[in-house]
Amino acid sequence: MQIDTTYSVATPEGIHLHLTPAGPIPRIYAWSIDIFIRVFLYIGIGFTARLLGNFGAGLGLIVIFIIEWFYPVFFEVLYNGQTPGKKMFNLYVAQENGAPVSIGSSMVRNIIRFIDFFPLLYGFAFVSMMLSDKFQRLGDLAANTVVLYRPDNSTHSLSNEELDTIKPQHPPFALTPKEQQSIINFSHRMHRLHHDRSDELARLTGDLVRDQKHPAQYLQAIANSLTGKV
Amino acid sequence: MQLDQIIANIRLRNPWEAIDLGFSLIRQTWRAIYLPWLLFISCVSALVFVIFPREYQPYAIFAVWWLKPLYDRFLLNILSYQLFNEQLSSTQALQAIPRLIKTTGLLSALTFRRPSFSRGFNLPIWQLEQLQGQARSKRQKTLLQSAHSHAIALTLGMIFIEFTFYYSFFVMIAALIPQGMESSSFLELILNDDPREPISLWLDILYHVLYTTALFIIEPFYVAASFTLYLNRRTQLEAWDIELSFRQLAKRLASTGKKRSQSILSVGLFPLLFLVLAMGALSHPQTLHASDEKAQNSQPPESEYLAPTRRPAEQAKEVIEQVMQRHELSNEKTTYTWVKTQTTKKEEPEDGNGFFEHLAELFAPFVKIIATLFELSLWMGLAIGIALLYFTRKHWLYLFQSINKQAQKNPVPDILFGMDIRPQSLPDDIPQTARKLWQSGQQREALSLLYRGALAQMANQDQLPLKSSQTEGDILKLAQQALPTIRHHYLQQLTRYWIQIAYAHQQPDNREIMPLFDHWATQWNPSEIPGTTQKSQEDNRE
Repeated sequence: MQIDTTYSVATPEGIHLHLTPAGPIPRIYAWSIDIFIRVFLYIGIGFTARLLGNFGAGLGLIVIFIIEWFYPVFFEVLYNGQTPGKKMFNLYVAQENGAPVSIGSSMVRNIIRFIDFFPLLYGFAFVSMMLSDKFQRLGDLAANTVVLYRPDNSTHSLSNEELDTIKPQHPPFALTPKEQQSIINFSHRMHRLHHDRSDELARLTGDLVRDQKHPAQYLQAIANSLTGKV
Repeated sequence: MQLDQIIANIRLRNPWEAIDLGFSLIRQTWRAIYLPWLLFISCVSALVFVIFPREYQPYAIFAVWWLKPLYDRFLLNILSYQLFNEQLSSTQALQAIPRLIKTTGLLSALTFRRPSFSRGFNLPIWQLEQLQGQARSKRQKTLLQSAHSHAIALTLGMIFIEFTFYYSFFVMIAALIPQGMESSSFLELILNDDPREPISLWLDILYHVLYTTALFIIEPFYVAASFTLYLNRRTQLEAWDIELSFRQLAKRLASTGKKRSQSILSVGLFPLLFLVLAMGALSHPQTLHASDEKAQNSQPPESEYLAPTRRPAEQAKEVIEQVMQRHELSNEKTTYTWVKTQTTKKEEPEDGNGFFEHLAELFAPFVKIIATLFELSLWMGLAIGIALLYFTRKHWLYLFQSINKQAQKNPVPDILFGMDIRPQSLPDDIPQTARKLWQSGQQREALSLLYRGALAQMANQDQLPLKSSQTEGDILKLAQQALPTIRHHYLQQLTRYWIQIAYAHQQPDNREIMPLFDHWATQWNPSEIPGTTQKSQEDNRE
């Protein structure tokens, strides 16, 4: 059993979703972005409220109260589980099974935020995150929610001109999907590796490249055939 | 380095996930780390505290904090073995310390490199790669290229968490002090910095232990997260994840190579398999070039079905299209949506052709008249509406009166600064009663009566918006705007004497007071106060 931060959820359709909960460090920064936004809002509200005298002060306090408690709920429910801070760090709140966060869960996790804040600046939340295997703070545990990384798909659509020029070759052996994937990954990432290192890596496949002069290039050719290039 | 022994899952992560992996690493392996770490840090921390002279002992915390690079080396040593599934015993971990001090650039780390924000990330280069001089700085530059901001963010974040922990301890202690005690003892304890007091030694020890505890809890997380961030960067640079899967691939191929020689003997056991393969080969003779003997035999051990051969691309595409035509896969759906029709374009060619167009032309004047009539009636309706609103203004206009005016009609308070000012509580002839009281020596009561009479008059007759929260001065200010000057002047004097006698217990002269009694009736005609007249009538009836 290898250590990893992911966990998988099986859907009724028989699909295993791999979800990656986010730890305290990115969440501190996401939270501080949100608190900056809120403080700016409060300053703005304060100035406007002063123009309306006592009435304004009362109204301003009510508005600040509502924002302070419902800012995260508002964004989490309406904007795919992302407050502006979370969006900047590519995080989102979801139910533990990967479903979109519900209003009830969002309310619970943000009301219990108050307890997470104890005794000082989220002391309990840090302890809870470090002890729970999905980096859940107390509010997350109560509401059955997690903060997850939104998968970054940009690397998959990577195309490489040099790669396209290599003539595809069928692999001499049948390969498992996992092995095929690793060869494709290799060909995608080869331009970031040193030449010697990529040849060294390619030679590690043993029998697959036994008689090849340029093993790395050969693997790229195989990858091209695997990805269906003609 | 035996990559296949690694206990963490090596894959290409985003740097934040790499940091999280460090936290998971600690959570999984904390037993092996925290015991030797406890021994080490408690010794160092105690030693630092003891060697500081007494008057500088509060600053021993900074020394403990400054020595962090030393702890990091100790922790990284344990972690680096742990990661490759080798457990160091506590003795082994502690025995490694002299070597770590000598070979890992500790001196520079404790001096001019101490303020570095990426020290955790750089540490493995010093300690595990054992690089020095130019090679090291070049290496560090390469590694930091895309990980520097994350390394800094990690260090700052961990500083934040560490201090949160440290100060959380104080808040927890403060929260646990019983009520009534908190101000007397605890704050004194905290603020007391006189080193001669015996209590301050315990206090310094408390500070020191609490900080050491916070550091003890947090530092392994920092080192582990830095380490995994470093590993992730190397995975990115050197494709460790691919190395691992390629090694596995080679292993599988080697083992199937062995099987291949065995399978010749056990052909009889797999007749069905061969039958299927042979049929496949017959039906697609053109694909045979790729399916040599090797491919047929090296079936992967996984349960997934893999075709022994790959079709050429065009043919594969055809097959895929055929499959996609099938009912279950063709995702055809009929949906209905509103689409904007292009009415203007359609009408143009039909212009002047149809029967209805002729009709429309015929009726055009009538239609116009009807339209004008409608328009007129709408305007008239609006005019009638406005007129109606004007004539019924009595019934709704008062709704828009400002609330302040209504508030003035609110009932006056019964009691002002402890004085009952209800008209019922006052005698009929105020100045006379007051004069009698004055002469019988009850000066306080006499002035009080006068003043109360004046207040009652102002509240009921002059309708000043008096409130029970106002003071004598407030009322005087209020009266200045609402009353004529003479009456205000009178009230001013009365208030002054009343305040003198009520609060300062100074009795004013008879001579000064008498005009007040004389003029009261002219200034504050009590007969106009409705309550009093009513009362006098009632009295008469009795």
